[in-house]
Amino acid sequence: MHQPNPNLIMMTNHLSPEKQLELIEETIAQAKENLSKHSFPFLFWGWLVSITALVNYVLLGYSAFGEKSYLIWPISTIGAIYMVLYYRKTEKTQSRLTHLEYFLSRLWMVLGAVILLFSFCITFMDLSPWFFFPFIAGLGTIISGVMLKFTPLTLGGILLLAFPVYSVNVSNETLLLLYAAVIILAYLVPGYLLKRKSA
Amino acid sequence: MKALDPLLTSPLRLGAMSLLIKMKSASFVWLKKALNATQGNLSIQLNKLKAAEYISIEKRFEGNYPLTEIKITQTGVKAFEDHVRNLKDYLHLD
Repeated sequence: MHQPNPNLIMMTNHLSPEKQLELIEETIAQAKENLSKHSFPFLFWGWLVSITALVNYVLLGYSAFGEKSYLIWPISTIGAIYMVLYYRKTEKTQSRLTHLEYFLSRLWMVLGAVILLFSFCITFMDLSPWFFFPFIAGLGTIISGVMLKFTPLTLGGILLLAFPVYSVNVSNETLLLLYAAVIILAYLVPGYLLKRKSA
Repeated sequence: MKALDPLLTSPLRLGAMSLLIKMKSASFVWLKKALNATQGNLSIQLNKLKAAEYISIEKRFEGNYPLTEIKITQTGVKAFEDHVRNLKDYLHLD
């Protein structure tokens, strides 16, 4: 961590107005958001969903399980539960929490809860998971990208949010392949680019 | 021209407020490291800010470890913003 100028952080002296402004600027710059820290949820979802979608595609097309092999939605639901628990634990244990970290953790906790509610409703309502999951995930990703001022993530969110539109005429099996590709572009690519960003 | 807030002209208190303004919360240990301060001095200065209701200090246990969590209050945010404005006025900036 960059240490503030020791000449400015003296024990008891009061500072001149010029030095005070200098200290404020230095200290605020020092507390800059660590962007790479925000990559974890996108890498987690990127790997989880893309691998699940590909395995699901193989099971659906080349195994005897047929329609019973739809792993993608239950695993996404388990992922949402894990993320809610992850954010709760992170908030409690980390030594500092910026306003942005707090906002994003609450955003994803709420969206995770919406996904859980939807997963429950889908058992008795005629709702399409191919619309709902990408839409909610895309919405959260766009907001995260805008708040982090990280364009690749915003573009990834748009790609995900628009999934129900451009996938409308795609067959069920191919949807899984398309979804895996979209998740790689929307989560894994921006996730790794974000991870490379320093504080 | 308004007088500068004497609570915020001390470097350690001003440094702490400048960090806390960006944080939802920060631990005492993190603040001590970030400000390169000693435990005793930081405690004294934070207690002065707490007495003015600029910050809140909450002590709790996280697992088996004690954690001192510090947050800036609305009064603190306003005092800090007013202070920055007064500094700029004083220096004829803006």
